[in-house]
Amino acid sequence: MTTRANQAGGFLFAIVLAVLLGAGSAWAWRAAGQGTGLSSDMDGISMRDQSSSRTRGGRVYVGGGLRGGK
Amino acid sequence: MKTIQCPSCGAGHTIHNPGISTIVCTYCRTTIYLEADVVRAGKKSVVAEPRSSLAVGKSGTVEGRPFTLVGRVQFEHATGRWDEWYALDSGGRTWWIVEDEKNYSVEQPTTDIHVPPDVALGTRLELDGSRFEVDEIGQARCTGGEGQLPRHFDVGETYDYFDASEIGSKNVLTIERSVTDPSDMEVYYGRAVRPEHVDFGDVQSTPAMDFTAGVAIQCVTCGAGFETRPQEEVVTAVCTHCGSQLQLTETGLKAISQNPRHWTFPFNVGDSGLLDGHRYEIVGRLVHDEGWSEYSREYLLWNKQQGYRWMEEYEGNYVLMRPTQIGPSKAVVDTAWPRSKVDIGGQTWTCFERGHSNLAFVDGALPWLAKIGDKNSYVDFIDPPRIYSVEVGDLELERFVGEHIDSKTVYAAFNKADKHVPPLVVGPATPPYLTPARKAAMWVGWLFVLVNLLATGATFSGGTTLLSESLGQGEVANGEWTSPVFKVPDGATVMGLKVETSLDNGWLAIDSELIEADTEDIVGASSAEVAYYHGYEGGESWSEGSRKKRKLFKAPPGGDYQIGLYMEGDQHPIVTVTVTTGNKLTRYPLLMLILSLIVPGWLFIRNQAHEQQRWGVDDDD
Repeated sequence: MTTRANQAGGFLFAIVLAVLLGAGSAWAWRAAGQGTGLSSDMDGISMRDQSSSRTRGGRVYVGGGLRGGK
Repeated sequence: MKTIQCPSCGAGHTIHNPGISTIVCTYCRTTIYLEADVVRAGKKSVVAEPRSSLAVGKSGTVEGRPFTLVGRVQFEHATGRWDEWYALDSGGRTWWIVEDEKNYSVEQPTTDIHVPPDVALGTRLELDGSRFEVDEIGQARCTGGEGQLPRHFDVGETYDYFDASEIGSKNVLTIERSVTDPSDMEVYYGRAVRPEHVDFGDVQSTPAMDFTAGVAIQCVTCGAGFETRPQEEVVTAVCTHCGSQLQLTETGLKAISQNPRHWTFPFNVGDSGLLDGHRYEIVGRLVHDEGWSEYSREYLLWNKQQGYRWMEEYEGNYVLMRPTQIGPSKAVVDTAWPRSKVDIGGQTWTCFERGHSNLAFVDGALPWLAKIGDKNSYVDFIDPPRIYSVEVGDLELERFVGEHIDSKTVYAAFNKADKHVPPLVVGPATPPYLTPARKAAMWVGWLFVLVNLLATGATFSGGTTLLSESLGQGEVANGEWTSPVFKVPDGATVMGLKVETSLDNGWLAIDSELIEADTEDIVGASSAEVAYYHGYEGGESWSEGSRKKRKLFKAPPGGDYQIGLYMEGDQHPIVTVTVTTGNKLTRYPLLMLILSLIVPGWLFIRNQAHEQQRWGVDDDD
């Protein structure tokens, strides 16, 4: 390739990079706001299926219950 | 017009200009001086044939302006010759066109500039408001003249002379002073002209000195016969058999030195190639010993219109250089340091290196006197891919400006593409790694690094607070706590639960629940441990853990909710609970931040390595 063709290829790369990073950044910001991938459960383990039957009186501790310290 | 007769042969001559004081008889070559109304005969003037297309009687143009050449004086100095052509322009004004190794300047005598009596090479002069640098100094001998001239000259008379260039411009100053009569001083002021802007038609055939066809030479050292390449002037010719440097003088050949060893070059004398849009022929090759086992190879190239070019090679990197009159804004030869900046012709250049070199090898034919061991001081400036060089010898300061040529282009130009050897290192004038396209890509990358950095930072903002409550030590000790009811708005996406404690070398396990207020259903639950320890050991403070914790979770449908906490630990600290909405996840902008860094980071690192290698060449010296 000639130098000029290299330059054209380089600028094309810069344009493609701008488009990709622009699209990626927009997606990332939207995903961050919408909580994409975030569980409805506070611990990341869904309890929604059990929630109707689980009330404060009959709760089940997640992850083995209360854990000790050091 | 006035007519005179040659006092020697009687031939008639018409004087074109009232300022003419010397005529060389066209027929018998006698120098005729016009003194008042007296005509006096001087010595015979046998001047070498012109080396270029300029000739007395010819008309042509200089930078498009018409001139007629009416006279010529030739001088010889320590390392070569130069011609001064007396010319008339279309308005009848008189000029001198100075020709030296195919470098031209157009000058006129001046009495406005007062020159100090003693100057040295490299001296900076402030003359009548203009700054000059003395770039050549020496003694010259008048070898003869022809045509009609406005000044006296005596064949064989010696002159002190110096040339100076005006700083930051192409203006030049020439001073000639008779050795026998220092008061006989002529000052000329003018400007340098590039050879391609001097057009006087084709070169005239001058068999006796026709270097344009090459000349046959018999070496006075070994007796071998060889022929120089076509060019306009040869002062030094190197025997192709024994490597003797032969000086071509009026009286014959003189051996002045001999190559101590042979050097290999990728290109040979006689090779021709198309460079910079012009076909050049290699007429000479030189090797400079720069000390510390550093050598640079140099090719002298010749083109009839363009004159001489210097193609320099260092470790496979090539630059094509041409002479320039434009000098640095300040003295640099003994003062410039690597990386220091200097203004040259209104542009900023960076000093790359300065040093000394010895001529270690030369072959071919050169228009100057060159012998093994010739010493030079040099200082190079770069603005890649451009390079500017000042070289100082005993009597001459020369300036060159040039540009990097890709080595593939050089090999292809000389029809040796198949033997291409890529550069071993980044050269002084190798173009920057960051081409405009790469620079654009890098700045695009940095822009998105900034965008995603700001986005990542924004995710740490707390969102809108729905609940903020502090629990006293008693409530914590109780182990259970239920918050007041708070409202989660419709359409909420991400919520946050933050627990801050006043723990001090202790831990607290917290189970938290998100409870729908009306039904008391648990819609989310989480377990976390908050632990914070610190101390002072071995003279140093230390700490580990944190007094707070934050959890993000997907918001439930809009409505009334409560937070329930179950706590157990070895302390009962004050606990503050904050529930927020409108929080943002850090992971996505952070991921994009990392991705955005890849291209600009890569280009930045490569560019740094490129520049380090460029300057490393210098550091190794």
